[in-house]
Amino acid sequence: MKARLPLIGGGTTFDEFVFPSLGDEAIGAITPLIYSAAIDTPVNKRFVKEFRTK
Amino acid sequence: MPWPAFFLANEGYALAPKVDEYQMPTVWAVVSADDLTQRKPTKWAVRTGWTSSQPNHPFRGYVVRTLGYKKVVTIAMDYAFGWEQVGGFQRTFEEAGGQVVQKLWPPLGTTDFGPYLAQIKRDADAVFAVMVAASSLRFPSNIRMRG
Repeated sequence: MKARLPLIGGGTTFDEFVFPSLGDEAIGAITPLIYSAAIDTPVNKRFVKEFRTK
Repeated sequence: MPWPAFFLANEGYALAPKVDEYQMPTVWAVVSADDLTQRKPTKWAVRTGWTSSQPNHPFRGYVVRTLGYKKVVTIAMDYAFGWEQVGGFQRTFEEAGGQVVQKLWPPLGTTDFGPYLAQIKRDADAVFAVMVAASSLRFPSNIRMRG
């Protein structure tokens, strides 16, 4: 029996829009989703910047 | 919390027959209900978003091979989106050699998960959670308080 079960799940469970309202309890959770604004590629960085300035 | 129209998967299933009946072209940006583009496709809808079960299909490989989890407990909102997300995960996870050992279904809008967390089988490798909206805000602190 583990003291703490690892947390995985659906992408909406730890949605990027939810992060600002969460604290350390989100650290370590792993979830998949169709897109993340944090994708570290030149194309995505440009897209995020242009989307946010619109 | 108010729900925007055309947001939840069950709302999509409720509206889809009417969209076809009235032959009303619609764009579905958020509703991800699987069957709107699969078993019961809606002729008058264009989906620009995604499918509930979709991200969880490739996730199984990561869970089994990289994380090394074999036994998983699921806890998901008890409505179409929760069922489809868990369904997509369970089907592919078990094909890859994993096993879903328990499934818990709190109702949509649950903010106190105590009664559900107390039931979780402690010999599992991990908990697979599907939360939306207010439940996404409450569930992580609820489960961390209980370990």
